[in-house]
Amino acid sequence: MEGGTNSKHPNEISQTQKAQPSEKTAGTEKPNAANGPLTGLKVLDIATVYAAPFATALLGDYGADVIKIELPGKGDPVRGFHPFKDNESLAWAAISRNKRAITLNLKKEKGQHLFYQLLKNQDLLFENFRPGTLDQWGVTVQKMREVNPRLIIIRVSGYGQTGPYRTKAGFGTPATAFSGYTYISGYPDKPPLSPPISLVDYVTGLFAVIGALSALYHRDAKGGAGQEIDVSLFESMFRLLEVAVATYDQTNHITERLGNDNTSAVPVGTFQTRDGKWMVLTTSTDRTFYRLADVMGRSDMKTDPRYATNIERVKRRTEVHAIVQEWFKAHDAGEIQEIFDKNGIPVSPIYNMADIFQDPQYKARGALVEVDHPVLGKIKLPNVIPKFSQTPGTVRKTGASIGEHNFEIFTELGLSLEDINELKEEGVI
Amino acid sequence: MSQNNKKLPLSGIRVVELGNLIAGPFCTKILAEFGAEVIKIELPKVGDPLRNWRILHNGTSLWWYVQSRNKKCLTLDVRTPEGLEVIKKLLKESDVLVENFRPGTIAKWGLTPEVLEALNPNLIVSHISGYGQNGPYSDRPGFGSIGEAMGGLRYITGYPDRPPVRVGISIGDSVAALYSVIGILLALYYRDVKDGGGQEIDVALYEAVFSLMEGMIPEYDKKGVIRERTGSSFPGIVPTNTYQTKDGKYLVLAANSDNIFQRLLKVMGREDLVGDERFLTNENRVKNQDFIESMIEAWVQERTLDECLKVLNDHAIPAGRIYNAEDIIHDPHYRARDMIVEMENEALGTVKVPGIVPKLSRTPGELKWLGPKIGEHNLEVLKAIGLSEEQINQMKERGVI
Repeated sequence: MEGGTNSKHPNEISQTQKAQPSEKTAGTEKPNAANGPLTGLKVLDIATVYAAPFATALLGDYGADVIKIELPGKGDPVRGFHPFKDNESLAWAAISRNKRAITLNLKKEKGQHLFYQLLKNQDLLFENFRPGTLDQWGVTVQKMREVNPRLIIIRVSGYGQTGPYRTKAGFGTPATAFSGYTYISGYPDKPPLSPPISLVDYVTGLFAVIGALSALYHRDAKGGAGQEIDVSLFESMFRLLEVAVATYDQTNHITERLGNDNTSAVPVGTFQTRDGKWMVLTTSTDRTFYRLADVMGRSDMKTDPRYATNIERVKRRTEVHAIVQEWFKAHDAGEIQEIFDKNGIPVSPIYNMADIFQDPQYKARGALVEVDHPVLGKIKLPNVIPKFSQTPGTVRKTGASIGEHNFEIFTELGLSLEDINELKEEGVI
Repeated sequence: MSQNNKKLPLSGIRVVELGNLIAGPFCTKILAEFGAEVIKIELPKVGDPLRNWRILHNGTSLWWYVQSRNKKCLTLDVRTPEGLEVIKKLLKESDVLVENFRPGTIAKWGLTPEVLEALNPNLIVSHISGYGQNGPYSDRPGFGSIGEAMGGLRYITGYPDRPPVRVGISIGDSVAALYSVIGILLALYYRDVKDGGGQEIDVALYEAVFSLMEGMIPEYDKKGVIRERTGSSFPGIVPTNTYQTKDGKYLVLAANSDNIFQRLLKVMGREDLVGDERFLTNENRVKNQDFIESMIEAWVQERTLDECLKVLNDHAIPAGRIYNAEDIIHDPHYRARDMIVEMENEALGTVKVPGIVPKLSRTPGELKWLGPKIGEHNLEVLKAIGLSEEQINQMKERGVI
């Protein structure tokens, strides 16, 4: 149970350093520390771009102390991502919230030495190098375990730590195509459509957090040991495609892309209103459809065997959708929203960012949070989700500048100002 | 398949699912894969509508079998006084309740936050809904596509000259489910490691989608930019796109980091452009996107997909084919990673289903069985909370279970 006490670096152990990553002590020494369920948990993030950093940002939202390690001089590529304002990447500001940032070169011996020192005190390590890269530098799981047996290591990669494609360059777009997701997205008369956001990175980040928390629970609530978690981009996306697998296996049916006609229930889709707005409508259950039929003045459809059940409506998708479209064309969006809300039929206008910033539901839920930014003044970010009744998370700061916390963290490790300057000159930090 | 001695991180945790369709059930399925005992409650005779969705086999959807794997199925009409007593009894001995009804619905049935708290102060309750438990839209019915539209994803999906398009799967529901799992694990950790007691978790579909909107919030906030639909290309990250090959297939290519793009130039035989200022940084590539896109298009058009992939993979340039279900089931990498698992099922015989994500080295998840028949575990579950066989039969006659 005692993590990090069998360290082999006696010459470097400082008095300020606690050898035990103890979440039980729930230390809240930092002035802006959170009160989330993970307060006191220590997380090291040596990953780049999106999936793993999104995972550590989520843990940070809930109070974990996340230290982000970047390559000296270069930093995380996200710092170079569009768009910029006043030379500040807005993407970086968002993804790196609540993290402390230090620089450290893991390819250098001194860098590794500091890394292991830091590692003693950690609960979780997130990495997303191409499988084999860390081993090549001599940073192996075995060495990390020697330093900290209780460590939970989350390894994120494009194709996983095993299998024939493990060393392929794992970027989001190809991994998404490999997962089967791209093939079924878009219109039949156009090429398959890649998602407009780094969807696979986000979904992988969520699975990485699920793995990390499961392992943490196993370790701390059940007296289990530390372990490794292997999360890949393609599998995370594929995990959401389960219907397609069982369907192909049992019926040899390959799910194709169908534009907006790819739903399991009918009517479901995008319809244009009299005032030219696009709205989405969903009737997933027969009961919802009956309410829609009443609203459209087509109560006859409730008892007509051609329309009364979802199975039959799916067979007549085009016909049913034409009936709905005709009704939408005769009404304005605001009117439709009001009537449908009153009757319990799910409908929504399709929002862009300007709509979102003005919406009363977003406002009432505090879905946007304003955070101080050293250069930009204030910046709005999505708030923490999900919401907890007892231990809500918080956004305490936006993305740190490169090496912003070098001094703070390396002095915590017992280094002097002189040591730190020397390491900087050598390019170790 | 079943290895009962395997260590599972959530073994001993009992979860009650009061939910339909995707968001709630997908959440509890992940918990079940990692060892939780999940008891799914369905309305007697009717059941979860998912049983009839998409492609059916002998009257039950194939989706059902995967969505409900590892769960125990109990029929119970919670709206009857007798049913309410039974679920209270069950919740007294449970750790987690997951529900995805419209806000206020389970309270109307008698399961108010106060009642639940008095019943079991250690209970963790995850509410999944379209718009969240409060705010002006909270009592609207909220489904996945609505969350996708309101969360901002629909608007940017598709082509500028066409209506916004749905993505291929129920992404809003799936992402909300993952957040619910995360919320439950956080709350379990707080309860059991920090002695914090139970609490409520409020997951809104639209917020789950909204959380994926990257830099779009600060982009609009600071620059007034509204992101629009741009097909398969990534706005501001160049080059990332889909290209058609000589043999009519599609190649996805993401050569959007500085070093990788230099390698791509060499692969395409454009040594003359290596080191050219215009392509060295993403910022400059964004300015020259049209030139870059047409250069890649021309190169890809002259080669088959296999030719493209061979040379791109050899030079570690991220690229791939676009897989469909058939490609996936036959792929050696999926096989090697146990991502396609064969299971036995009474109704289906041998059936392939997706494996478990993520992979934990000491406490991997486990697949025990596929979606059960309606009410399959009535006897087992109700007996375990102290009901006699006679009581159970009476409830069945009255339509409570």
